[in-house]
Amino acid sequence: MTRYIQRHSLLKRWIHGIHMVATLVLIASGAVVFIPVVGRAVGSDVVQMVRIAHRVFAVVFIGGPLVGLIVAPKGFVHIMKNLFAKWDDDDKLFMKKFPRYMFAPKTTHMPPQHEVKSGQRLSDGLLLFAAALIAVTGVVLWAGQFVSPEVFRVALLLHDVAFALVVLIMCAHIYLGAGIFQPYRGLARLMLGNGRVTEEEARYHWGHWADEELASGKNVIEE
Amino acid sequence: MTESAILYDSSKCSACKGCQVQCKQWNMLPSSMVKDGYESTGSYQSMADLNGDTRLLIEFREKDTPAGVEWAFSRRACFHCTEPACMDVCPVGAISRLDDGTVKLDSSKCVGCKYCTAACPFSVPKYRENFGVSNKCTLCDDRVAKGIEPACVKTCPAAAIFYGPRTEMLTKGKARVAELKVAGFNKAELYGETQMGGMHSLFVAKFGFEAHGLIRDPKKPDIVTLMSIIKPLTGLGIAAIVGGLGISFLSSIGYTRDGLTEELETADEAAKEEK
Repeated sequence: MTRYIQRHSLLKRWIHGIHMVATLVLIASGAVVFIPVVGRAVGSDVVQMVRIAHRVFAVVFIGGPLVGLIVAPKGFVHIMKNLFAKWDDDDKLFMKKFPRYMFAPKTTHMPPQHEVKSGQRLSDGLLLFAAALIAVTGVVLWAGQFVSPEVFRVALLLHDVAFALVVLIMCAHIYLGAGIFQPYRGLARLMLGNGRVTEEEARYHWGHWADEELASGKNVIEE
Repeated sequence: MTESAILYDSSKCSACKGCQVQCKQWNMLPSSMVKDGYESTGSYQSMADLNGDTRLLIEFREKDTPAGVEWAFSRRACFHCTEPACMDVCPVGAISRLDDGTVKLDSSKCVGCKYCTAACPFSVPKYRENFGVSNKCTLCDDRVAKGIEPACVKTCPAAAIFYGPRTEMLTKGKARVAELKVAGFNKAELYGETQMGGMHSLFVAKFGFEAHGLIRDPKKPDIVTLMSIIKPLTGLGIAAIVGGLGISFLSSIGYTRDGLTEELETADEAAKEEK
């Protein structure tokens, strides 16, 4: 018999999944305009179709999390609390050891963590900022004919900056979240599967959180 | 190929707006058919600025003087810069510079992103809502290709607009400025010789650049330059991250977790032991 902890709810996994698809489509379609060589190579008809798709998925990108916020406001508050939680010594030690861990995981022992690792809190914060920036500037660009060229210019620059940030963070997010990094192998199912983590994995990745969950037993499943 | 240019002489212009009308007629660009369809500009000027259906606008700048109203007329249209910022930012290559210096916007390729309007220091390209594309003067490249001068030049009854080799237009413009100075218009100057790398729409400004609403030292917006830096930087950043993650992946191959959990060192626990 194996003990599991239910880490993510069905709603959170659905919103993550929808947002993931929207983000990937937006990155691919945005790249067609961001990289002029690509836009010029595929031709204006394709670019025009891509731009329409970009706007459709932009609505999903902005609307998805808003739906989550309306349906489960407590969940949103929980995410924010984790994001701005005070760092303890283990959080600091985790960040100190993280670069070495990335390149020598076989010999680096990481300290136990709370529900969201300190490194992920930093990454999530930056990703949230970039996502908000790209959403707001995207809306301004969409409403281009109603804003002055000066405002449009600034929005265009910030949209590009946010695009660069999102792409760079996503590279690391996918590497770790999809379990390509071997110590994180299997973690993809947390968001893309049933949302459960085994007791052993929970203790390894989020020691403090696992202790609390196992003690309360609220989200513990035995199968 | 010889570079060509238009030369507009504001000192000869009577502001009849014939060029404005002929531009619309040749390029089949409609005007509002609604009474008072354009907001009043408070002068004889047709509309406040260029728009999606108006590539050329004669502007009226009035000044009260003891002798009565003094007018400074301007021909507002694309300047056909040698270093066009609009062309740099166009994501689909709809804007190109022809051999004769004309900066052409091919509406069949345009996707209506409006980046060109944002990049142009004069905000000349305008979005044509009904067609979803941007629009601006093409120096009548279709007419020029057949050996006919641009429509606005052809129609000007005051002989205030000329078209020909750029070097000739520059000579003509400078000579006219010299004449105006002799006649007492000390601020007269020629616009477009050096601005934005040299323009292909030159302007004899009878009362000086500012009086005619011309930007003395136009530059590509800094943001356009920054955007051109961000793109390669992003590429380098992605290459660095993917490379770093690749090395990380190789170093993690064969990783096993057995026994690791028991050996974890906890900073909190270590701190407690020290106490």
